[in-house]
Amino acid sequence: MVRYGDRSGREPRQIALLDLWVPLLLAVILLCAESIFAQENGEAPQRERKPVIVCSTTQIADFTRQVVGDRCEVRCILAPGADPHTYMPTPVDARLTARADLCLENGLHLEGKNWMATLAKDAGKPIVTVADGITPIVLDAQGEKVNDPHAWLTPRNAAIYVNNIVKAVSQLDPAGKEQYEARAKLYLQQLRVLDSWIREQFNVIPIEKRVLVTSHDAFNYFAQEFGFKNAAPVGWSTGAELGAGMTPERRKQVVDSIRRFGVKAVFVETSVNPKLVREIARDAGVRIGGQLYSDSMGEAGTAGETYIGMMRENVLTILHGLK
Amino acid sequence: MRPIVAALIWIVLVGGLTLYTHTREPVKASRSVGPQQVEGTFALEITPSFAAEPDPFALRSDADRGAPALTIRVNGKEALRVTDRTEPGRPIRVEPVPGLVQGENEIYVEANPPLSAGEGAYAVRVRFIRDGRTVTDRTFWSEPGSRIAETFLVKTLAQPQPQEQGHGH
Repeated sequence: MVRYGDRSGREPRQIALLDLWVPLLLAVILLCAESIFAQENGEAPQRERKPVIVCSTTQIADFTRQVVGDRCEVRCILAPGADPHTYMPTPVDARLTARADLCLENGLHLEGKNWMATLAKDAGKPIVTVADGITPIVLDAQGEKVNDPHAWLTPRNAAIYVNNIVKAVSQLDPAGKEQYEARAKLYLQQLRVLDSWIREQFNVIPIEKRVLVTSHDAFNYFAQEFGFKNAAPVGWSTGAELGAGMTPERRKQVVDSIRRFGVKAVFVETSVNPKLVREIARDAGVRIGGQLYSDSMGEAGTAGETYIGMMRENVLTILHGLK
Repeated sequence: MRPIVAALIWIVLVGGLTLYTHTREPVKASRSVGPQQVEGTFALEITPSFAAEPDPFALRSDADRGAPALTIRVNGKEALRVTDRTEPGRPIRVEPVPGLVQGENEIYVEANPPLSAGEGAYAVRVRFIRDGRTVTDRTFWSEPGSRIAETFLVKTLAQPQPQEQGHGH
């Protein structure tokens, strides 16, 4: 009987299997090597590359996530609790912005010295101001007129932000427009219900008792929408802009207002040092009613980590403090 | 020689499969025969108990059309869009009703109660009329603060004996 085999004495079937496995192994190694080479060169497969949207504040990032879902990567420059008026961008922010396909800012000089616009300009990235279209409250800042930037603190204005975001992301990714609009419709209705719920909650506070004293002048839109008088020792910004910061006159006015209106409680803010308001509360003989979310939302895992959660907690804190 | 032949076979197999998966077109849905239109005179009468107003929380991507106060869709196609404030209790009539087909028809009703009116509940009455006879009469209520957005089915037969079906409300 004739036996076929190689010099090593292996069986013919073993040789045939080896002949098939070797090229297969080579093909797999080649494919892996090509994939690693492509990743090292930043050539991620087109299908997996999501558009990157970089937002200045936590509120804008939350609105954007509600609209884009998992279709885009949403990143935020500010951490929860950070103050947009005084924030100084870091090299990490510049690298993040360089990865962006779209940048979103609040505008109206909320971002002190326009840091978000500067980051986007330096990186050569498009930027959209999401507060466009709101009816601004004009503040008198030592004789100058300043538009109050804290417009998101009413659900109606938040709806304008959301509409601007839908428009911006639909231009960035036209194939996703239908999805963005569908998500936005659901979220806008949640904002509508939130608006109605806030009115219902505050309805139990007599109008003359609706006085909101907070750390800085962030609640003008909120106060106007829900029938509050408001006062703050620090101006529209915690930074060094015109009309910003604390003056002795403002502090005296706030203490006088608390006494005149018989205010029961004053409120500190999560993104502003509470020391000044604590001093005012002591001077005026009132208690601290709680902590409000204003320029920034809460940490992940807290009740204030979303816009709706932040507004809900603010309303409940105010209710509890003023009742 | 044999390893080279085997490698060539593998390259042809894997290459052919890759080429096929990249170039094949998605399976196109087979065309179905369109639904038949129905005969008769149909009307929808909508009576909101409140002054419906344009929703400030509407999506504004098509801003040129304006936010709707009241919208009616028949089988997914818009049959009525009111962008002005409506009068409470005053019926709004859609006649003829576009887009009706023989068989089941889904009617979508959307109305926006005024936000300033507080936390009350509001209602919209919808009547589906065939040849002057009311065949469906439904009333939809809003949850406090939210708009009314409801659907219901009407069955239109060849003979004028339509029947209404519930839709889980």
